[in-house]
Amino acid sequence: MCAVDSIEKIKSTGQVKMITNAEFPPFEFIDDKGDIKGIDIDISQKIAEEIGVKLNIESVSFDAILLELESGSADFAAAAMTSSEERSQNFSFSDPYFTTTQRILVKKESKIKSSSDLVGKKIGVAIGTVGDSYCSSKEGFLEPVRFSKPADAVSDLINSRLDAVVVDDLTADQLISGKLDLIKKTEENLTQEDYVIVVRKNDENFLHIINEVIAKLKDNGELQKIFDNYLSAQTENKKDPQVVADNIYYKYSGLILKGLKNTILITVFSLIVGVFLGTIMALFRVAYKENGRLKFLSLISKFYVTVIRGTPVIVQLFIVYYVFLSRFGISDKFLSAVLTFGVNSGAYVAEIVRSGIISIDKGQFEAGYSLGLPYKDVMLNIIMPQATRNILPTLISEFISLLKETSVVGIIGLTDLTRAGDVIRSVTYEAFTPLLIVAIIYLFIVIIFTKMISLLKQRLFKHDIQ
Amino acid sequence: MLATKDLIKDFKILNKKVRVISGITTQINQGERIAIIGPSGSGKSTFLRCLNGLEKATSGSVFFKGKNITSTRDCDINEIRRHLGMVFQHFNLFANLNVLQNITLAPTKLKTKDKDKIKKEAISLLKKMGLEDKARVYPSSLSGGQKQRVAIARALIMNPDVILFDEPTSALDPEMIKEVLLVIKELAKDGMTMLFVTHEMRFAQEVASRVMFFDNGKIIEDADPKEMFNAPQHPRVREFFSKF
Ligand SMILES: Nc1ncnc2c1ncn2[C@@H]1O[C@H](COP(=O)(O)OP(=O)(O)OP(=O)(O)O)[C@@H](O)[C@H]1O
Ligand SMILES: [Mg+2]
Repeated sequence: MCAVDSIEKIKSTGQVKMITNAEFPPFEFIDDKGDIKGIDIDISQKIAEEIGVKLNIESVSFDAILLELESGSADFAAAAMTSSEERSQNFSFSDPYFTTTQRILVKKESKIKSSSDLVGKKIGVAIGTVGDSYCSSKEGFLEPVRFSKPADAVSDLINSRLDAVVVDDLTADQLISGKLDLIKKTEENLTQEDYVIVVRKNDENFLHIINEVIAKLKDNGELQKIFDNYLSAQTENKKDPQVVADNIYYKYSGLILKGLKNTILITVFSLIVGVFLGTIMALFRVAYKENGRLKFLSLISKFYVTVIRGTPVIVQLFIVYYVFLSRFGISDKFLSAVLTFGVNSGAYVAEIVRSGIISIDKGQFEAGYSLGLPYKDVMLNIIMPQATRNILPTLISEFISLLKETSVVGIIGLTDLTRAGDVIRSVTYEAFTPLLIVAIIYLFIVIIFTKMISLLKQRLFKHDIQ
Repeated sequence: MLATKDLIKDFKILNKKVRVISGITTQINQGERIAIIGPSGSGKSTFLRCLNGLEKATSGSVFFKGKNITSTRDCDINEIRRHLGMVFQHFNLFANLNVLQNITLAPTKLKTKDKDKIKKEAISLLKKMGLEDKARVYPSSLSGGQKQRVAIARALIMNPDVILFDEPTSALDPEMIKEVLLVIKELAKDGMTMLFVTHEMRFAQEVASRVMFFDNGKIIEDADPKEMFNAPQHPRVREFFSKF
């Protein structure tokens, strides 16, 4: 790989972009105002100040961080990451700014005391973490059960589906606070791991600056201050778990609303794109079937429907976001989501519209033609108005499934309703309540629209009741 | 007025070519009232639909007023169809439009006359059909006989030179057949050129000026009604009538 030099670009644009996964308090998390905060953010701020530019932060899923960094859409990653062999092929690492260890969490009454007791036991880990690779490579250990959130592993532990959970020390403290009557942390330090900042391979000038900043912060005691600040805030928060929990849901209601707004906006805009695209695609095929015109476009339409309906939407989202739009230098997540789900629902809408038209009696076409009306007039004045009645209720069903399907957009770091629930889960270390709240909101919207379908059907088919 | 030359129509049924019209050459003159009779599946409907291009002829030609309407090059089929009204067995009224709109849609879109005139004419047609009180009603709430009379009015407003009726009373209850046949008789009296596929032999005898007997995609007998019904020449025709 050839040498890269981000510094010049950073200086010329006046901003440096940091990428993280804001679901790992106290290193990075989304606060009640929807802002990203945490230890890594404070350190990154110092780096930006050192260069004399503005700091730009973006949060994506943990798996996506290195992809984003590699693609050049971010300059460095600060996400409580540890240096590892696989990662080092394409990336360079700073000096460590924090050292921690993996710890074992067990139930209060458990006999497990150290790693030697874990042999043959069911162990839960957070996917892709050091705990994961530790348990995966240890002789005699069962394949660990991988969770996307440590809190989910802990609820399985409490429900006796697991014998132990292996997580880093700080997370362990978070997880047991408020649950001390149920679970405990054992004494053994399983590993030693260093948190580092990651840049692209060979970006040496930039890495040098980062290391200087870390050294300075260590020397003048500011790093310690940052840690103390966040850690004490956390322990304070945990005094009365119930009060804290209530408080947190109240505080995070703004985030839920923001997520809800995004979910609805993505769905509505996608459906608009989908209806537009789908109707055109359907009309190509109908035109070809009716009078043999537009053969090529009809084939394209058929191809489009087949491809889109034959591939998972999450893969389509990745392609749009990481491959297609990034080629044009666009990294707008909202646009990516609307484009993906618009094109995706277009394929389904095309089939809805097409079957809506096909279901119209052929005699309606023929009566129109026999009067001398051209195809266009027949479609516009006779067929489409009738087809619309078949199509509209199904279109609302499409809206409903689209609403639920958009719940995957969190994977590119967009805060929709599901993601908002995730964020709250990562802050509260609670699996159940945030999921319940999110589910109830989805259900509520779906019920409203289902009701709308039946009202609409009553209105639309009034004439037909004989 | 209308003529066909070596008209052939094949359909593909289950990937097999089936000849439905096998070489018809005939001529229809202004003022003729032609009844088309014959067994089911003999190609009567298909023949009628070839005349206004709803079915595209496999080979051969259809002429309207001397113009070859099967050649796509020098013929605008939509323009021709304005002069060839068609009435269907199952009415095919536009379900999304009320009775008045059903009648006025085509002349309004094709701008044959100005809007007020079209509306006035539509209302007078409805009066003639005895349906003036149904102008704002949707087709779904009409009886079969009423639907067919609206369909006839819809064809008439285009001032067609010929009207093609494809079994206009076959889908009707017996008591409604009369009201529709009465309307068609009225048209006949006014000198309208028409072709009608029918199973109503008495009606055919009474109204037609000429009867064509279809069998296996061919006109096997073509005669005036007296001859056709009293002294048919072809044995297939005699066999057909013996069932009545
Ligand atoms: N669109 C079509 N595709 C395939 N076959 C068709 C089509 N239309 C008609 N046919 C076939 O052509 C033959 C003649 O049909 P047609 O409707 O012209 O007969 P018909 O004389 O009008 O009969 P009926 O008295 O039952 O109405 C039938 O065997 C029919 O199945
Ligand atoms: Mg027929």
